[in-house]
Amino acid sequence: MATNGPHRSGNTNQSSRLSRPTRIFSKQTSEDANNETNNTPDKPRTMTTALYGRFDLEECDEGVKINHVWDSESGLPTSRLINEKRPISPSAARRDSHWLAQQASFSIDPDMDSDVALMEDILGETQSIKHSPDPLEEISQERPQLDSPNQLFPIPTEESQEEPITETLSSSSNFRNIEKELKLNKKNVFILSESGKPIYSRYGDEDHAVHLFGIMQAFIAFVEDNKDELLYFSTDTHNFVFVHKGPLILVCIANTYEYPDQIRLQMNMLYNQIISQITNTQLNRVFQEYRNFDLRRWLTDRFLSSLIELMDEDPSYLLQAIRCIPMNNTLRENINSTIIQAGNKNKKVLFTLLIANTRLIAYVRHKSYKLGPSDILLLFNMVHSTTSFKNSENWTPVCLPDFDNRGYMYAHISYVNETSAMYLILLSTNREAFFDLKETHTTIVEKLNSHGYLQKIEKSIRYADYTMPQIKVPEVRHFIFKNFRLNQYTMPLYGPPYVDEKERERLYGQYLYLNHNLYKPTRPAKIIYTVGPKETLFAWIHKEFEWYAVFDPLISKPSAVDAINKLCRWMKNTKDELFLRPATY
Amino acid sequence: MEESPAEVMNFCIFNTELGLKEGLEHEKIMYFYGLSTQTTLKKFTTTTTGASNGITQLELDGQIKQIGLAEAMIQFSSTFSDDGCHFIHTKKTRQVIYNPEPNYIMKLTVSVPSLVNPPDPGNPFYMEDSVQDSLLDAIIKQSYTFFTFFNRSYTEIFTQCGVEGLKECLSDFYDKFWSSVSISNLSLLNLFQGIVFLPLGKNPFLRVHSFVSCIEASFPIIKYTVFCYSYRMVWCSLEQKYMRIVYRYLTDFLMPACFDDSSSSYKPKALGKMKPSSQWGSISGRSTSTSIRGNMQSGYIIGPNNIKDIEQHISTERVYIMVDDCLKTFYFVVYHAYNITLCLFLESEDPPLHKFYQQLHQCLSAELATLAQELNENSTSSSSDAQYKFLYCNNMNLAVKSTLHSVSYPYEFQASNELMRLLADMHDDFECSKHGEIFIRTRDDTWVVGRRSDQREFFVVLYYKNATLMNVHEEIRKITNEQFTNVFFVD
Repeated sequence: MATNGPHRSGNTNQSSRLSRPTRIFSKQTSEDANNETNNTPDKPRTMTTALYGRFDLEECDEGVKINHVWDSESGLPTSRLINEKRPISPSAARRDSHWLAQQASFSIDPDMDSDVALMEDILGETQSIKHSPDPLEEISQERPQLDSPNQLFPIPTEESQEEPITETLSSSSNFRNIEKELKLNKKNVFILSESGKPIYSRYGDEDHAVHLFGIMQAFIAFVEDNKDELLYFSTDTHNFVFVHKGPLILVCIANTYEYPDQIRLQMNMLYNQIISQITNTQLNRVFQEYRNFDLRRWLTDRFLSSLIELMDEDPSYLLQAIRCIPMNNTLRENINSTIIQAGNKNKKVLFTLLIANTRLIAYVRHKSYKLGPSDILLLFNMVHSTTSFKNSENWTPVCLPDFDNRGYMYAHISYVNETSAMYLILLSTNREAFFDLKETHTTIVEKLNSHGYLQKIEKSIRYADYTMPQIKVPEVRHFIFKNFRLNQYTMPLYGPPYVDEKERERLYGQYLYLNHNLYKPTRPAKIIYTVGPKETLFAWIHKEFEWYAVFDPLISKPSAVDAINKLCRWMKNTKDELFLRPATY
Repeated sequence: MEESPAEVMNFCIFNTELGLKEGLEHEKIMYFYGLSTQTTLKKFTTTTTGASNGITQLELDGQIKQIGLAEAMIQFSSTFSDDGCHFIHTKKTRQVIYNPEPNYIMKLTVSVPSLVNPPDPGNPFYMEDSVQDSLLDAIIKQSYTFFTFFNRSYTEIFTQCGVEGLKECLSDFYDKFWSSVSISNLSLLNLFQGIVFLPLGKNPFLRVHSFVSCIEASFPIIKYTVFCYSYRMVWCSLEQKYMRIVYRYLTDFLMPACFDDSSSSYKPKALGKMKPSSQWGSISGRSTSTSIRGNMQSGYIIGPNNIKDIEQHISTERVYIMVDDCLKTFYFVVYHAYNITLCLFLESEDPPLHKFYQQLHQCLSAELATLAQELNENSTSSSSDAQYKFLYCNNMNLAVKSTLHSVSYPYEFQASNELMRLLADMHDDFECSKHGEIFIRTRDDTWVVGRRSDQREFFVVLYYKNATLMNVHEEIRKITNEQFTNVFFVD
């Protein structure tokens, strides 16, 4: 069975599959080429409706048509940007710099038409601009049935990803409106393909900002022409961070407390999020074959948007660590043994995670495999952003990039009951294991219930959050403690004065500042103690932990040191409750 | 592991109003300095037809590309932000953009140091955080301040002398400036642009004061005087803004250019229109090699080379100083003897005559010998081998006191480069976050402490192994009591 795992199987003959729209599972699983069998007809309902119900060929054809019309009518840079690898002659270089400067001045140039004309002019000169319907059309036709795992989710139809393209881009007011909007946003995120094709924009319709995508792509190409790599540029208020990874370009334009290296980390998380939907192998392959491929239809924007939102305020992503529900150690052991017993029955489960909202309750892994925190965070985000998981049992392929970015794992995701915030994720490498995992799920839930553990867990969740006065170290206003070995962190509730959102955001900014200073590549710090007008900050990195704490601004150093020691003792006494140790099958 | 240092790769000044038509973009370029193409570029920047002369099409295209990218980034960033793009970080380079006057944009590109790993030389590690934005920002701004001090603003030169005049001025000045700057030697001191004052007792100070008054009275043409003793400021009658410029010019460029022992890796050059008199060595002919360390020499650094040679043509230096809201020109003369450096600003329509230089020389050489003797006795050099090094800066009077830098040229850091960078980081933190006090223990267990109260900043590097936060706190208290008895620090 294990050899059947998708990530271990050879990826031979992939391209031939691309042109076979009828084979539904073959692409996702990338199983060996001989396995021609279709999926079994008696799949669970939710999955089959997702597979067969929503996408038929007619819909696809329409999608392609829209795409084509959009290309030829607007004549905008999508096609221009295909030719990223054209040789740059000296005169072309001059023209390019002129073009780039002109393009960038869109926002302030009232004479839009001339610029569009200029752009078309340039388009006309490049060889690969012809609207070639061939590869794109072909792949778009088969795409919905093939690789998109998100379409396996029971998504309500109103959440359809087909975006109606109603407006053409020639109206200049559109440009100005979108730019006004963009300026108001604190953090814009854009994802585009290497050839400049829009894939995602955090705000607004990416088609309306298509000229910006062209410029961003040009920046990357210009710098890479000199065998260099654009990292970021900054104004006094904003950072413009560029990440060119695989065939994708991720751009974040932020007016936040985050440092560029921290934003880079977030962009890598976003990239991983994309990988989790389509695998690295497929992403690279599809862009190798069709440079101008429109990736949008393969992705779920919702995942990306929710991840960006989480990363804005959740320290998990900054620390690359998981937060747990604190609970009694014996209860945890009981839960673990329940999970292990159930899992040992069919031996198809590799990982089991019991989660409430975005906090871990239990984690059992196969003894020879490990899940990195970033993968677990992606799973959190997937469930967090999909409300429909609540009402159904779900079986979905998911690629966990840190574990293996080449293939899919299969996740059985289901809440323990209708009222609870608690859900179980069971992961297997066997795509046929749905019924086995379903059974494991049922066994686990039943046992937890019959032993009364569920109620106990519910109680733990209710009392999961603690405050500083509760732990009797009132000098400390707030802290974050990360355990390196377990990749977990704990922090109390935000108390006064960090009750309103603005203050909390500012506090998070202070944590970002400390984190940045602890991890400067050439001059990392071990201890930082900073007195500011609004608080005194403390950070400490040790081989076993990383610690951030915030005090009153007027606290004296002896009392701060005293409070840190008190907190140390408390941490030592309660570490078994605060952090969970993964059990193994 | 070999480290390549950060170096200036190129520097350009362009005018965004010129060369708007396609194909004429090269007209934008007012000045371009590049390491590899420096010699050919000079030809280009001083000729009218530009493209056809001296510089290949390929080089010109490279320059235009640089400018195009910068312009595009400025425009693009204005879509999202109210101000233009300021710093550009790529893996191998760092660029800083400065817009000192409307339509004029200056851009400096610096290489990012890399560590070459012997087993894998093709894939060096670029130390992005070894180049600090704020330091580059400081140096590009300093280059502009110096330029205006010696030449007026770009716009003024442009309106008076036209494009070619401006290009000539820029190339005269910036060629020397950028070949004198060593990026890896920039430190916190360049951020403060501060002045090291010579602490003096009442009597010697009054002696200097009366000496200056006496000179100014005997030669009414002398409007302002700056008096330095062994790289330290003693007396200055200029406004603070100009005092800073003159002091930084003396210590960063002029004196290193004269007294370079070639121990340093870079060759500083004096700025301004003329070179320092050849007898001082390093620039025009190193053969003379009169190391002034012996400091028994006396004579003009800026002024006539040989005071006895009457026939000699004396090249002059002019500077522009704002007096009562009106820009005035002065002739700038620098005289050096016995470790004393005198800068004199002459208010006169015509360049000073040889006679004047001769009279001044006679007067100065007599007086300065005794004065130097007195100053030497009074200035106490406290070279303690304490386990700490500190830097203090008062932004109100620009005073700097540092045991982290050597006071005289060549300026060497008394702490590791990483620590020096950490101090600059701390200063940036103070600037943007309003923190009052920062204690950092580095990974190799050195404590670095920064403090700011009001306009004063104070940094200490402590080499105590295994010191705790409390130990360090106590130690800092001791140091402040020792060194700054009369300076108020919030505890």
